[in-house]
Amino acid sequence: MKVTWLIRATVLVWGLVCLGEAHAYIDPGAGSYIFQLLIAFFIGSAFIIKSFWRNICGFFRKLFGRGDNDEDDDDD
Amino acid sequence: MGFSENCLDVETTTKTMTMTDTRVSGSFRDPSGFLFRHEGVLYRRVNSVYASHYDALLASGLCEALQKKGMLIAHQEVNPGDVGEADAYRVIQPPPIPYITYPYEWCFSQLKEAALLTLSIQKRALKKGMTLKDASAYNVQFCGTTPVMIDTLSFEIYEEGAPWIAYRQFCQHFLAPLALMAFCDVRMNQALRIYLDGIPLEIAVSLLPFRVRLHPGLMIHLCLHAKSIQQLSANKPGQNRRKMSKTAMLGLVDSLETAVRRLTFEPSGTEWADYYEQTNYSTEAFDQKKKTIADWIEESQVASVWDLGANDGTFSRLAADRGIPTLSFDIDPAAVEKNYRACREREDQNILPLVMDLTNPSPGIGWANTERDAWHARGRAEMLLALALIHHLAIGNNVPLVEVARLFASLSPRLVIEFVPKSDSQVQRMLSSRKDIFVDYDHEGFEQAFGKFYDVRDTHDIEGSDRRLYFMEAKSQRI
Repeated sequence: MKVTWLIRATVLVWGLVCLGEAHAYIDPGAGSYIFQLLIAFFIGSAFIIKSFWRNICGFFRKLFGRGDNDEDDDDD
Repeated sequence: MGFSENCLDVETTTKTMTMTDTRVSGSFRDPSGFLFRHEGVLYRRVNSVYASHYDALLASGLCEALQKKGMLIAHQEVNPGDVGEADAYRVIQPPPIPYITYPYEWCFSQLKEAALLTLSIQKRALKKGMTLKDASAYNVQFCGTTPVMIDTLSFEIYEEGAPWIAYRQFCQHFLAPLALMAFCDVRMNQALRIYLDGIPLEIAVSLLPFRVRLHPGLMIHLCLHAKSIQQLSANKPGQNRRKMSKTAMLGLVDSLETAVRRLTFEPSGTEWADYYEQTNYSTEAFDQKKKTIADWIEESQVASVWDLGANDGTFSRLAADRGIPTLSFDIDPAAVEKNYRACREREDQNILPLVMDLTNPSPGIGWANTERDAWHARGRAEMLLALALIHHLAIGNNVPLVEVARLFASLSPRLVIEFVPKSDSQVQRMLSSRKDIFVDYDHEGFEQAFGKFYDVRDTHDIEGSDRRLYFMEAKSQRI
């Protein structure tokens, strides 16, 4: 029981320490902060599917010589 | 020489520039550093508390990559001791922006471009192990038609698992106003003048029509987000042990980008957006008017022009085409939108179109009313154009002619102005529904009022109408 409590406390403190390391000066808003964590799974999954689909489209575009000019290409 | 080049070699003439070692009034919220002026030159101080993030920004290559693409303002490091900041971690010198603008002065596309720039920077930052710690619309400025991020200290080291700290700010500064402009009324960007940190999401959602819920991006980032803010605010972020992966973070940015891209506005149907299609004089007279104004601009050899009541920028282009940086103000967001799109299409970097109601122009707002300067405190023009504007101020808004002259003289020493008399069909239309109380509104009264501040250098009667163009120079700088 004590060990479980200790682990929980460590995780909580570690979380708070991690938050403190960031140099953020604006209030993210607790609601906004938690909301992102709640939607993270869905939005991440959608992004993976979308990226996969983009890659397939890009492959066929290249195959048929139409080029693929992704404006967000990170060429640096 | 356009605004882009001006970002490198033309200095603004704001009131603070006359002082030495002055901290810029709007730069105080972020402890990472602040903007200040030393002997009239603008610098940004980097505090020691921000050292690791600043070093990471440079070491990651992100800073150089963004600057190379023109997305982040360039800078050079200077010796802190040389500018009176010996205790600073670093001092950097960014090029001055010719004229600072604020989001409530931008048209729909300008705000949208600024939003997309912010998201694109965040995406690139994540790929380099950094993240934006704020997403304020005030961090973006326009050099001509190109948006540029001006806050070099907006980045911090990305911490795996942490959500985006600036998510709410992005939604309040960009997504909510854009949605309101697209779905309610394009003039809703004026709400940003009231809410300095962006439009609160619950207010935006209460104003938006129900159909925005059919748009997944708006449903998530505005409607559900607003609800979460209300219902989860009592929780502490640290109590939630969930993490947000980098993929999820990239997904969030991608989702916001899609939501922003899908928002559109078509500028048509307003009184001003189609104004030049309703003018009452011939094409020849219109061309002659353009030639006269162009000649006056050329002979004046001015380095900056403000076109007041510029509509779609037709006459602003007379100055811009001669390489003169020109601010193109108009009250109508649809006309400004048309102007901005035309500038983008022509790749015209000399014109900066802005929304401005001259009868109620942008005041000083924010902390002590100095955080965001009033429009006239941010610069001064070498020449003003006020074409087919005077009747809207004097008759449409009951502003005495002498007060119009006083304002114009305070803005610029040179003025090209078109007087539109009562015999003109445009003025007759304005007077058709109201009592004519404007006894002094004629050529003589106009010349008398403006003669208090200006000397008339030249005039030109517009063929086929009773309108007259005047080229004036201020009597002195006493005004």
